[in-house]
Amino acid sequence: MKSINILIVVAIIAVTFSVVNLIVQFDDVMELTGFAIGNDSGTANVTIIGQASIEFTASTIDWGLGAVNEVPTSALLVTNGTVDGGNWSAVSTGLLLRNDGNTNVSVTLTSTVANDFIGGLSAVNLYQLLVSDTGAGEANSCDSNHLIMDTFTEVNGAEQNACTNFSYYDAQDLIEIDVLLRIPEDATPGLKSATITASATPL
Amino acid sequence: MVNKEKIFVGLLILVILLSVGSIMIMNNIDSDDVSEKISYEDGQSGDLKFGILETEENSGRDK
Repeated sequence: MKSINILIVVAIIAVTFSVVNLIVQFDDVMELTGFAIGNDSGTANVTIIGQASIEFTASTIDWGLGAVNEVPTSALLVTNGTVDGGNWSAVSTGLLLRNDGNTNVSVTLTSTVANDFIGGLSAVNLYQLLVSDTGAGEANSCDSNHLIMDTFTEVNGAEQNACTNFSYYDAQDLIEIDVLLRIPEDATPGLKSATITASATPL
Repeated sequence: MVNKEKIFVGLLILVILLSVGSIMIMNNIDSDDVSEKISYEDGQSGDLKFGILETEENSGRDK
């Protein structure tokens, strides 16, 4: 066989391969884009995607300025109105977090550790969080089976599970995050602040 | 030019055109944002504040 014949055979194989490739790709595009041909009728489908969306409706807690009393040697501040052993202003409501999305979500909380936030003797300082759907929260926002932080839990600096099924239904989509601080008498004077980051993942 | 050579050149041109067509189709897929990723997660922040006044205990001074 002459070399030109071999080249023609190769070229025919290449053309065949290209045609098959073109047909396969064209079919894929028609499936993906709903590309219409001729006068055929079509159907429009709408899919509502579950979108996680949370919002702090009460996003700041400020106890103001104060000092630890001489006795005892530390002060306890809790967002249920407790100020024990110091003269800070009482705060009676925690942070309020609402699920304003369209799906139930799992919520984690992240914040800095007590040594970095409060300072002082590490055996004394405490920075703890508690999540509830009672009090300022709305009942059944996070049932007991999914409420992980249902007792005061020390903040460890990492992402911590708070509620693994936070409801989005109206009137049951609000949880309260209470805060407990124990401030040692040797904590460095000055303004102290910490950020609590709530992250929501749709279920 | 011999007939076979003409056929060969024609087939090569056809291969090139088909390749261009494939590339245009793939570009069309990209422009439809088929590969667009949607972020489903959300994150919000709250703030805690308090101030500690200077006292004998925390300033290092003797009582």
